[in-house]
Amino acid sequence: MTLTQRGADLLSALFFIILSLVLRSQLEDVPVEGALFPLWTLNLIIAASLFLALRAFMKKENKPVSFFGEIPPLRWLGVIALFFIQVFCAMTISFLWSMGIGMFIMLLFLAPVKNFKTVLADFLFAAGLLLFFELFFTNVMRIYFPEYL
Amino acid sequence: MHAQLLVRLKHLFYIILKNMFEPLVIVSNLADPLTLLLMIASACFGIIMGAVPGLSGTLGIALLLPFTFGLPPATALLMLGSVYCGSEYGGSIPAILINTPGTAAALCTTFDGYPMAMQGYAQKALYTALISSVFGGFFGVFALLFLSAPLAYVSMQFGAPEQFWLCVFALTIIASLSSGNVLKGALGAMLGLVLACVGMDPITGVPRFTFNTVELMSGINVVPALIGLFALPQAFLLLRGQDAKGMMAPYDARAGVFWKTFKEFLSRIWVVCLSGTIGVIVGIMPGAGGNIASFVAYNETRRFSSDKAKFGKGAMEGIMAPEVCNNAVVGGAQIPMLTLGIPGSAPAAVMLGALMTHGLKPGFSLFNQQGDIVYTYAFGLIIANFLILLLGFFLARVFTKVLKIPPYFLVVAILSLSIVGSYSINNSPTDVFVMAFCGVLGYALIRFNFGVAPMALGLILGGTMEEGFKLSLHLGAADGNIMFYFVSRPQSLILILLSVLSIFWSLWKEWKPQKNK
Repeated sequence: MTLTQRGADLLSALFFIILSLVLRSQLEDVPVEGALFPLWTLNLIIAASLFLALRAFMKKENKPVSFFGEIPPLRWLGVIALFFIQVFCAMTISFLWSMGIGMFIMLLFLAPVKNFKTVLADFLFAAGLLLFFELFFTNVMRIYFPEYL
Repeated sequence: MHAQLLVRLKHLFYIILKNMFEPLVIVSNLADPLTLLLMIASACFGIIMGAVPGLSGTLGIALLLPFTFGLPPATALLMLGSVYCGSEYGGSIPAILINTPGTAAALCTTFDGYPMAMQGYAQKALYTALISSVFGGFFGVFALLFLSAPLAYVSMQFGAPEQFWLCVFALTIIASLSSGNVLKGALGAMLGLVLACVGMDPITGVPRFTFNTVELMSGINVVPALIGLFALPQAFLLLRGQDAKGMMAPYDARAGVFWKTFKEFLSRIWVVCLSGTIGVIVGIMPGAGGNIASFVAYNETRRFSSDKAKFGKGAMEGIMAPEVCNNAVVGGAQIPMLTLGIPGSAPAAVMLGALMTHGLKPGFSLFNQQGDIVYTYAFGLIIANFLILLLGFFLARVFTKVLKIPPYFLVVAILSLSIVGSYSINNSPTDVFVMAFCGVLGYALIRFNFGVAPMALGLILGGTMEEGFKLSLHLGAADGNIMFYFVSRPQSLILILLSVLSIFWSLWKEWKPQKNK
């Protein structure tokens, strides 16, 4: 996903303006004392965004900007998807299973070479991390992770 | 005038000696074997975080923060401080051996470190960086010890309007310095301020920006947000795989090199004084950080050197200057953090989050009421630097092996630790979702040149800034003129002037290159 600097700045300005307007609507029932500071901040965001958009239009230089940079887009999207699934399942289904499976799949997905040796290394790494979480956080710090299974 | 100043100084020293400085408590805190053991482990962790290109001290502190819960505040701070100090030294290892800086602040170390290593003096270059880092660390800590109490004393003169204007000043500085684009930095900072307003308003008790969800009623927890903003984007950026690195310099360990290097180092002690002073001054400026400071120190050292031609070809001073400087920044950046609640660098911003999580409020009361914690921390940093010296001396070869860790293992480890760390703060799934959301937002902010530091600082300072704003409104209304109350006090006027100057300076800095073109 390659944009130009102008496109990226315009898109950012639009995002900030929409976000500010949505958030402003949230302040309708808030007494003036509680609403004043966030309201002024939101107004400043809108003003700064308009200025950003104006500057984007006026700027002669228009370099390309890439959201993914040098990262292959599929690799980035894959990791993001796996990470969010891992987070969701770990918090709502089973922490241990979701983290274990999630880490192992992510390692398999990211490994540049896949053979028995690397898969074994990935498995041992995921198992080691999981053991560390269980021993340190649960046994030492007494933090119990969600388990609904 | 002079008599009044003398009385105030006497009063300050009386308070320091009477309330803040308790040598026996500090010694007993630092003599705790568990504290020392944790400091060694943290320093090792910090060196590794600094040594792996793509990782950083900020990430290390953010990831280690959840591990410090349940520990006494002084021990927790010392662990995080050891990571901070260790990472600044660690950054020099890949800079010297593979011409790739481990941290942004170590970029200048590549200029002379790599050429020296390629000439067959890798061990000497690494020892130079090690000794320089430790001396720089000492310089910063001494500045922290001697400057923080007087500055904290000055902060007693600050009322509600100054509290507000100080936050404005910090945000204008960090907005311009961290992203290189003042408008985008300011937008990031304001986004952070808005996020800080999420949850129930402390005065009216009315929920703001919660979208009628119970989970957001208590607001956005700063620590998971910081983990998301600083750790996740680093993990995502590591997905690009191994950077194009230079050829690894040959490393031959020989006996006696350390002492020879140390003697040569002592003969160039002026570099320590110059670069250390620059490091402390730049460190105190909010948002400037080690990367700016090390460039300034490198340039100034070259300017004052009698043999400018050898710079860039393996000059010892060329390694000493950035390494002394970026380690002096560690102490310098923590002076405004501990005294005014304004962090001087990105790692100090996370440290500030840690400070608040452990129930410590920056300012004079921290020194006056919890002086034993502050001074245990400051003196502990001297020990941390000694530990780094020992670790660097005995484990140099081990740390060079860190450069061979495949990046994808680091990605998985960072993502998993971020989940576990965020959850362990409050045992709250909401914190984990906040961390994940902030991570993706942070990545987008970095990609579109907004930077994450302004938003992080906005989030940290949002509560304090709003408190100052509201209190000033009330006091101004009672005084009869709100606007006049906001700007009339001399302290406020100085801070407003500094904020305006910082904005104009950043705008001029942006405009100048265009004009030159």
